[in-house]
Amino acid sequence: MSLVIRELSKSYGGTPVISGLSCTLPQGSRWGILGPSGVGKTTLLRLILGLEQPDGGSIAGAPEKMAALFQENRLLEGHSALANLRLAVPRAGERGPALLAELGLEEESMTKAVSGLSGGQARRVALARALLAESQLLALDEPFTGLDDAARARAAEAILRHLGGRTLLLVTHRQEDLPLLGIRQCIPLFPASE
Amino acid sequence: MGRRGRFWHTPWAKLIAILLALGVWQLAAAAVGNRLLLVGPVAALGKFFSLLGEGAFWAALWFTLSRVALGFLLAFLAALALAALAAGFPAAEVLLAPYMAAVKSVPVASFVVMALLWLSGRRLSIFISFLIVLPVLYAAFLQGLRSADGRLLEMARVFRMGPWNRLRGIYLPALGPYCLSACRAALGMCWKAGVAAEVIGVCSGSMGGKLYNAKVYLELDSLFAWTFAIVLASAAFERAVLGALGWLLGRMEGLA
Repeated sequence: MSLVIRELSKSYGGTPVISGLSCTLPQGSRWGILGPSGVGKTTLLRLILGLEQPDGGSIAGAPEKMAALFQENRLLEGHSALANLRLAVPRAGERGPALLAELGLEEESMTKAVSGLSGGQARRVALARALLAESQLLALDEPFTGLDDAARARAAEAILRHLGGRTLLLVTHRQEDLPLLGIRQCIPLFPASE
Repeated sequence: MGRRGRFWHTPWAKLIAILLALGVWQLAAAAVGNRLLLVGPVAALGKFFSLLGEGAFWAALWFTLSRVALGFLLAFLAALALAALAAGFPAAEVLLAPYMAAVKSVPVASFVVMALLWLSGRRLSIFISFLIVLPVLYAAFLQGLRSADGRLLEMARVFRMGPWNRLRGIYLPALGPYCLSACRAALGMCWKAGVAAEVIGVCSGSMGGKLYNAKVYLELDSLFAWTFAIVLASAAFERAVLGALGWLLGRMEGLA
């Protein structure tokens, strides 16, 4: 089933952020949401995830199960990396530690409270959570923030390995992130004033 | 800060202050020279230690402790349920507001007199402890639930986290500090209100009842000894409940 966006518009305090956006995302396709700050990338993701309501237009065919890596990690700070995975994705089971290791998180860091992890380590935990969740759509908002080049390549490989038949939405301000995930098409977002 | 200045922040300075206060009290008692008007700390402590050997003391302690504890427990559970309701439904908060405001502003004595018309003296302290603590805990719990991180709640929504995991991962860490500080304040209030109810209700066999008897028979040493016992019991109860609560919150959060 395709996700169909028709004449979508959203504004904040009278300032339009997204205006008249239409596109169709077939199930299993990969899309980039590219553009400078303020163009409405994160807003579009939030609308698709159902966290915001559009002012106009519609989003039809949004999957029932979606997973997201937010711009911020949104981890449960007092809990360990493994506990974060268990609490959000109870069915992850033994796949959790394996995926964290695959993303390059050391074993001793898996049982430490995430508040004590570095930015890059915490990002990997948040990415693992999104990859483990059973879903038909995976939304990644700047997934490589805080990762060096080696970790970035490792994370991209893990995303591709665990993506399966999910629709992928990648929000990024870096064009070079798109080929890392085999993305060849972008949702056209433009500054609303243009 | 100089060496002398630092001394006044040590436990020794506190001990000296306490000993001095006891000395002033003892001198005042000696100056008054009438045991019906004022007894010194030595006589009060002597009476306290003699009470410890009496079965009636432990019976009164159990009587009051069990009722205050039950009142506190019921208030805790009711406040939690009502705060959850108010956090989820704004209408519930508005509808509950007049009751909470009334309980907070009406003097304890008025409630005691009113409650005496409906309840026996033996149950009075349960009801009064419950009533006095309820609005304090309710307000703190509601504030704690509202302080839960909205971004984490969004995350929980996207990942379809179950209610138990939301409670452990998001609500309990938000609620914990509010819960502990509100309980710290409420536990003391609970004892004061419960004992006051026993005194006004002339509840025989209770610590409040013993205080009342000490006043009636002008036994000032008993009055001080029972007061000391109530303060000690209240402090011990507070420590025990806060310790248990801290442990329980930690366990529940850590059960991931």
